[in-house]
Amino acid sequence: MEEWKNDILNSLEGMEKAQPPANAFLKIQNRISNQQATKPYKDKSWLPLAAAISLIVITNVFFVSDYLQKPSEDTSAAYPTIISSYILY
Amino acid sequence: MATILTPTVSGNSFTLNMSDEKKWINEIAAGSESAFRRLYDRYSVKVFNTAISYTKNKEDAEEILQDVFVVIFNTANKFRGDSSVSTWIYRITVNKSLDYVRKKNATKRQGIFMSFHRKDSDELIIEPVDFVHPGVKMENTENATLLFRVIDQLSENQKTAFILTQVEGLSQKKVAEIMNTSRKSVESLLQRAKKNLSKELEKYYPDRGKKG
Repeated sequence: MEEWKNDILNSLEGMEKAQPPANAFLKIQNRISNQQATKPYKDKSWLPLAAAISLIVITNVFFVSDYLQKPSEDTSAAYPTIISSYILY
Repeated sequence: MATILTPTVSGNSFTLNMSDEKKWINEIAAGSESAFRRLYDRYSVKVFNTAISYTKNKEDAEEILQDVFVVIFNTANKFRGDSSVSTWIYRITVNKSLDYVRKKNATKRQGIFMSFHRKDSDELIIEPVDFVHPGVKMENTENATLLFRVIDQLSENQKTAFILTQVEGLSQKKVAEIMNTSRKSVESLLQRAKKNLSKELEKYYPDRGKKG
């Protein structure tokens, strides 16, 4: 590699650090306080309604599933009586 | 009261303070301003210098510095401690800087497109930004300006590997952690970056070698 290119590639050797502006931290603090001030208020009034709807749905599911299961138990219990009432001697 | 710590240059020097820094992050997550100030005092110079190498502009680097510390404040509660605090901060800085460069290039492209439709401009002139890094030695100013002009021709990964090792003075191991890759990959990126920079310098300044 030619010397001039080496000189350019090595031109950052021994460089010092640039200092950020003195008021940069203050600006950061301001941005953080502004974002906290403008943070949208989280309205949680929908929570009781959601809980009520969930309760209704769960109760309905429970009763429907219970209702669907009942007839099979009843018929199996009723058969012996019916059959016994038609016994011919 | 906040303790002012002198920022260090080498990435390895952070290992001794790692547990301290993780403690600070927990304190920041709990809303501690003094911990935030301590972290700022330790990292602001590093963040600012990394950003200025990408933006080549003090005002934009300050904007990135602010963005990085706002992100740190907002996401301190999500820091899991899988990497060191310095790696995490450098990652945020590099990502913010690359986003900035992408946005700026997109705006520039839009500007070029608009200029095609401008009746009063006969030819399109794209002027390279003459950036003089404030920390460069006086005798190296001209060469460093030429170097910063051609750095933009590198791919994002090559540019990041070059900036973090050559400008920031970080070890290849540390850069590998930041870029989430192997040390070998960083070494290879760096070699390719130097080769490409050399080619670009020949292309941009064909007469310079002949004069010398």
